[in-house]
Amino acid sequence: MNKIKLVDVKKSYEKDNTVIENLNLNIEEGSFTVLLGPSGCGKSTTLRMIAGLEKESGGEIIMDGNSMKGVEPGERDIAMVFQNYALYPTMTVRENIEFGLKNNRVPKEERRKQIKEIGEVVGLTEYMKRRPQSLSGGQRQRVALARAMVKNPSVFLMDEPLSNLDAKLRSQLRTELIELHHRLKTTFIYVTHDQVEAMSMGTDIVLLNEGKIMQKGSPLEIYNNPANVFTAQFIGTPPMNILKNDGKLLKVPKEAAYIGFRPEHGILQKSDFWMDGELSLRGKVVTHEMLGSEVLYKVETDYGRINVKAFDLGTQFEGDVVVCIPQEKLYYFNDKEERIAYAEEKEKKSLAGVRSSKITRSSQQEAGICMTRV
Amino acid sequence: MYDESVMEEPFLDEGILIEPLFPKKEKEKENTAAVWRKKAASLAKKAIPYGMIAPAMVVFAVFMIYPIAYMIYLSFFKWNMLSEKVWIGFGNFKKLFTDAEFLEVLTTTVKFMAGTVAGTIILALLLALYLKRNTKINRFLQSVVFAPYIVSLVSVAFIFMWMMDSDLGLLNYILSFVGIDPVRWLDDPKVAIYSLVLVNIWKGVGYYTLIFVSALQSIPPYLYEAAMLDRTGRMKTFFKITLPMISPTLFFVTLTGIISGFKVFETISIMTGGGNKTNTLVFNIYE
Repeated sequence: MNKIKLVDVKKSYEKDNTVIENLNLNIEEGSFTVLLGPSGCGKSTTLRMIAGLEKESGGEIIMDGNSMKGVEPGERDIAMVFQNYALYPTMTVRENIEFGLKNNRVPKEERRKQIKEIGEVVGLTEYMKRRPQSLSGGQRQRVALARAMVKNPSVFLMDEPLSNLDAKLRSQLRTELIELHHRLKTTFIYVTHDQVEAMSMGTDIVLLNEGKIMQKGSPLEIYNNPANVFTAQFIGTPPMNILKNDGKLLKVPKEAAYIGFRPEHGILQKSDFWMDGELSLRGKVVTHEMLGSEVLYKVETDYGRINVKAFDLGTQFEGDVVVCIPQEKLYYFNDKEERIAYAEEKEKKSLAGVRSSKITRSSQQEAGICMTRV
Repeated sequence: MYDESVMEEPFLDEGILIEPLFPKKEKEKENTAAVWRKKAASLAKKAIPYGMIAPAMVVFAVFMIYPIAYMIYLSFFKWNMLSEKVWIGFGNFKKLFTDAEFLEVLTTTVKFMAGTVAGTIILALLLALYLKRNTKINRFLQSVVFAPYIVSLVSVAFIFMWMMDSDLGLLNYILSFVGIDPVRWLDDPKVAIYSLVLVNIWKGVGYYTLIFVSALQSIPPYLYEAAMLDRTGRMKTFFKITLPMISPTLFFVTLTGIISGFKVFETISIMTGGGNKTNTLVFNIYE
């Protein structure tokens, strides 16, 4: 069931400054939808329009079947967690959490009970009398979460809530947010520019660029079946390698203007090695970065610099190399940077996920075989 | 064969005492000279900052602290600057607070101060709330509101004297259009002090408006957004968010307002000459 529906939503600040144009989006009830995209792509604006903090210039936002035109943010049954937490600095933690409840005329006893419960959930019981300024970033974020949770909303909106935290805390809170979603089973809409966050947390990812939806799907589908070059290059660290097809590449369809492959699917070989039947590129290793479980090589080829991940830590490649990419690991894009044959694959959507996961596994096995051969 | 115990406890191997790799240092005999040198160095380190601020502190003490302390000291003496100082305890204060004229002057001053401070702050805050949005017209209006502040108080007093004239004044002329009886602005002892309050409010409101505008603009907008999501009404937003957020500014403005209210002189001197129950402390001292 659709919880939120955006129909032809437009947003422009001035006449010629259109941020979002004709955005159509369905957000399902109970989903953890991540609005992902680079800075200025309109993801925060979309979220703020859903919250009612910004008015849409055109189109309509529908929540639970009701149009949200003219409905105040406080009446929308939503709670929002801001990037900078937006805690009231003149109030204590307790007052911050209590403020919304008071405005909603929740009786005093009930308020006390709810705050006690929420304080225990987010682990803030001993900080209730402190002001936000005396708390650490992580604690402030918990207060912001508690303030949102205590309202028991049907939709949680989160605008890059983890971006002000250090890496360790971020990953910890990421897990906590996922757990929270599992427990509450309400709809979460989460805005981020961090694709790792999107992949790890979301049940649905909506990838935006310049106010347009580039692709919507599950993390697995978006990763395995990118609909266009933008998606392919935005998702994945490092991003997909995209080569411009100059017609000299073997076994590549003619209509493909661009060819892409994931760094983990490239297999490094010594320069005298040549794999028949696969796409092989000659190049020179520029740098190699040891990432712990894998080594990331940057290889300069005739088609530009490409990233290749190698999982065999024992072998180190230097100088001239050959990068082999199995045929089935190649993605083809036309001159409009759209994926060729993606439409067909989309029809077999349910099968696609299963198939691609199988492929990933088999490719790793293959990679192993390939390397032992060297 | 490899023997684990040997590896773990090398010092006990076959009873041979191996010298430890890092022998504990013997406590050196304290060298008194060195200790003293160390102490002197740390003392100098601590003293330098005080030395640096000493000149400022001396000036501050001589010109600020000493006069105040001396004034308090003198208040316990009967002295006319020429005669012998005679200790009379709280005599001066007793005399002052039983003097009817002083009490009247004090009441007038407090009335004037309270009226000016309350009037200016409330009006300035309302104007600031209206002018806080940074638009072209608002920027222009801000300078319009600020204009009276740069005009000399003496000129302002003369203009208002004319405007508040009981017979020929502009204000009574305007009131006559709405059918209100003329007010004897400066001639009625019940009204005069409030007329002076009005003049001071008009003069000072622009300055305080600008201070409030900058304070209001520094409140992060996301707090208002959070309040909207918390379903906060407009009045509650003002009293629970805006007002607490500008409270340091409010404190500063109130304090400076109170001080300048107590010190009022020009307006009184020019407009009423202390008559019609408008005699305030400073003017009284001058008289």
